[in-house]
Amino acid sequence: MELQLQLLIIFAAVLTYLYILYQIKKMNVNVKDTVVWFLFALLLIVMSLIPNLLVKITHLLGFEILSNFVFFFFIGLMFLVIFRQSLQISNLEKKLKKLAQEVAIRDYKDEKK
Amino acid sequence: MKKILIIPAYNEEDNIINVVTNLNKWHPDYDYIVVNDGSTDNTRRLLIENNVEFINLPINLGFSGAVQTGYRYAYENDYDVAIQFDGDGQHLPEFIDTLVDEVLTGTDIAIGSRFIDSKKDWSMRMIGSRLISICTFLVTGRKLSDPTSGMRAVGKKVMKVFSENLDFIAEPDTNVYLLKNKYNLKEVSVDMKDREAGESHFSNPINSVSYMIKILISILFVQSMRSED
Repeated sequence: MELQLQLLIIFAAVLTYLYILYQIKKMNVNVKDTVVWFLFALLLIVMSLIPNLLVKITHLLGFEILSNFVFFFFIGLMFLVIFRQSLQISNLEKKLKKLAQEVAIRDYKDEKK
Repeated sequence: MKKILIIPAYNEEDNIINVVTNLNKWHPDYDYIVVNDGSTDNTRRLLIENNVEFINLPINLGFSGAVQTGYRYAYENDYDVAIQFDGDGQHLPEFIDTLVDEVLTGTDIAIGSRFIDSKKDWSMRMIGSRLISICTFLVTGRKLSDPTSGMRAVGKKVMKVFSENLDFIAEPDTNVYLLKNKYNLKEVSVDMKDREAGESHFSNPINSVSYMIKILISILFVQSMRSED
């Protein structure tokens, strides 16, 4: 791996880290929801520091070139993250719906009394 | 025997009062509850002015969420039969008793069908209905003549399912779920009218297509695999 590339990746990772910290400080995001992004940043740094590891895995899994493996890996990871978010949204919808129904039914009963 | 009519209403200022008045005339012995699903028109004001019994959802939950509110209320208040009845004037009060009678003789859910005695035409809507019928048959082995019908009466058991289970797209996939889980489902012949006023959600073709896709996927891949235990 070229030195510029290594530096670029580390730079991106540090930037990601700082950006998440900033959003946490502004209270735009819960700490527990940022864990996956921290891990992402960490992973980037590991990849840039030990590029040989990546090459080995690439060959071990039968990919022809490194970039293919990297794309495959990250797209897979993205799918996972997106699906998890889908779950969270469904959960929120469910809670919101229940809340609205409870409030509405309670209001109606209170009025009838 | 406690019976309640559940009438979901979203932006039905032109129809809702007529529907309720009509129901009261035909069935003074039934309780009813209108569920105002966060309407943005004058529905709420009209309901208040006309002293209609209604539950007011603070936000718009969509049709299934609104109907479910009614089922929850019915189940929590120990009703024996709940009848789902549209707020847009398409359902006719004179057919309610036949549905309810069916439930009183032990059917878990009685569905009002327009097509037991008459043929479906070949409009887009009816082609959609046929497609849903076919998929329902594939998955459950039962032929439903009117799988999208929103006029139905349910007993306590199904009331419980509907009030607790938050996860259906619309009527057709609830039918599949109930059949799969061995609930006793019957179709009863009814007539329906065309809607009196206002816009149907399905006059927009995008909504229709999206509805079909969601329903078919739910029937084929979800409800077919879903059992209560």
